[in-house]
Amino acid sequence: MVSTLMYVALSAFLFVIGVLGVTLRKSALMVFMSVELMLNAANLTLVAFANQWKSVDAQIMVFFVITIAAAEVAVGLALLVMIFRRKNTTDIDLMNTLRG
Amino acid sequence: MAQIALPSIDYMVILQILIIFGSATALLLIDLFIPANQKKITALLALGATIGALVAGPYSNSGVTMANAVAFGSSTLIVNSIILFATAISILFASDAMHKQGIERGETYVLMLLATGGMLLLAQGASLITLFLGLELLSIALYILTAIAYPRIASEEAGLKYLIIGAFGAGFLVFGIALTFGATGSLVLSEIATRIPVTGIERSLFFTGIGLMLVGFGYKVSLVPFHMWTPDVYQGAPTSITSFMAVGSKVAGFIAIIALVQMLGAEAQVITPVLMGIAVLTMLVGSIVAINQTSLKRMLAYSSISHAGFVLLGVLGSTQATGLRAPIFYLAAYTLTNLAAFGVIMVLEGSEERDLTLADLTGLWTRNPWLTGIMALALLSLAGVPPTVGFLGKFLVISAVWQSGYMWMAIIAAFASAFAAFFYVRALLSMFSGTTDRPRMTLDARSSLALLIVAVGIIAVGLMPWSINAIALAGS
Repeated sequence: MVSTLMYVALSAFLFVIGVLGVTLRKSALMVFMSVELMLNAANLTLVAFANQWKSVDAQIMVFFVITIAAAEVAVGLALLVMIFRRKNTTDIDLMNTLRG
Repeated sequence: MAQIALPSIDYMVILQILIIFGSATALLLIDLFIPANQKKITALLALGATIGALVAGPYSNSGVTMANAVAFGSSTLIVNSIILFATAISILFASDAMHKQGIERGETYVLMLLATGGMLLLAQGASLITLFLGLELLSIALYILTAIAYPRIASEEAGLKYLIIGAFGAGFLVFGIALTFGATGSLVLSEIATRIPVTGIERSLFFTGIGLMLVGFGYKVSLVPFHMWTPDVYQGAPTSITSFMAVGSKVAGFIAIIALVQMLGAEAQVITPVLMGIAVLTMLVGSIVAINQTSLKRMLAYSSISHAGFVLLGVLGSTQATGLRAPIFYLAAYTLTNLAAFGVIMVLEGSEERDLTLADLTGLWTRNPWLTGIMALALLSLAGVPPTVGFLGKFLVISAVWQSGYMWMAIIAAFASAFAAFFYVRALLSMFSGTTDRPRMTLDARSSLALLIVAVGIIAVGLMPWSINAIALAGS
């Protein structure tokens, strides 16, 4: 039996990789994937704790998170496709029309 | 594992949410049969739904329902009314401005209703699941709304930028929720409040979780250092959407922060010093950077950052005896003032797509005195000059902070608002001085009505604070 804290440690590790991915990656696609990693790290934590507390609440939460993540990426990819048609790039550093 | 029992639902508690989501879904279908040049009918229907929900407020039942996930009380009633009021005014603005700019689409109003539903859910949320769902519903609708001017590259980029930052914030929020659940074994706010661990690894898990959740909400309400997206997104979005986003998402986000701080109760003192620091930083950065801006929308974006600092200060100042009067009143004042300021900018833009700068205000007095008057009122209220509503908001926050014993915080807050006043006065003077060869401008009926309502609100609430005060007191 692996202790819950091991799962939490693993998901914290995944979460940090996700955060680094969002902040360091330039391609918007990679940024989306990193966000997914952050959300799924959280899901892993939720499931691990749900098992420890013998509670279904957190498992339901996981379903909501998966649904929301899918909706978010759907909108994100739609936006990205529109921008890609115009600028021919997915590099978020080049999206600099707005500067003060 | 135990059997899952279906929770009972009191539909009168979620009445306003039901009206908004129901009419949004219906409107999506109805909109198919409305011809493209008649989209103002969609706007009218959406406006009707919003007003209907506003009227339904007092008839809702107080209480908690859906397995302790959604609550309704007297302070929720005030917050919901603020949100629905902002939506109604924004629909009027959007239907005028988007028609002029040739970007009027039926989905706009559906999405605005969906975002409003998310805000209401956030305001009524009594469980971490509801708070997360409310925040995401409001955010996803706003991402699309930001990019809705889609032949315009600035709008598309702003939408993508907002989405990436928003999703990043959501990641922090969900991980925070997971850790909080792990430490307490519950997702319901009232249960968590009774189970806050006092020692051991659970305690550190718990406060890490709370911190991560506050980061998530901090992105939404643009607290420093999570504010970098705000000026870009406010500038890139169509102005009528900017006003909706600036007002609605900030009000809803702060209600969630208030719910978290209240949940902590006496334990809130663990995070109070950090939040105090963030509040001070937010006020100062917002006020100081605003001075350098020439774009009006960016200026208002920084001003909204600075106001977020004030609200946070109000939240912290009022965790003790004074109740939630100060932050809720401040949010109401912020709503009225920003709707007026963004509304005037939107009217000035007319059919142009250009980003307006300070120079565009020069000689406004000779072009349209009424518009100048409303803008002047909004700027005075932003600066916090009596007898406007902005003054009362600042007064309430600073006195609440002073009474709760953070004297030096109150002094910094006063200084920050003096800094900010500098910019507003500059804008104010340029409106009345100078001349311009631009033609006089005329106003559309919808914008005039909306601007009139908020302008009257700024003065009336400023002069008769007891009305809102009494309600907010009852709700605290």
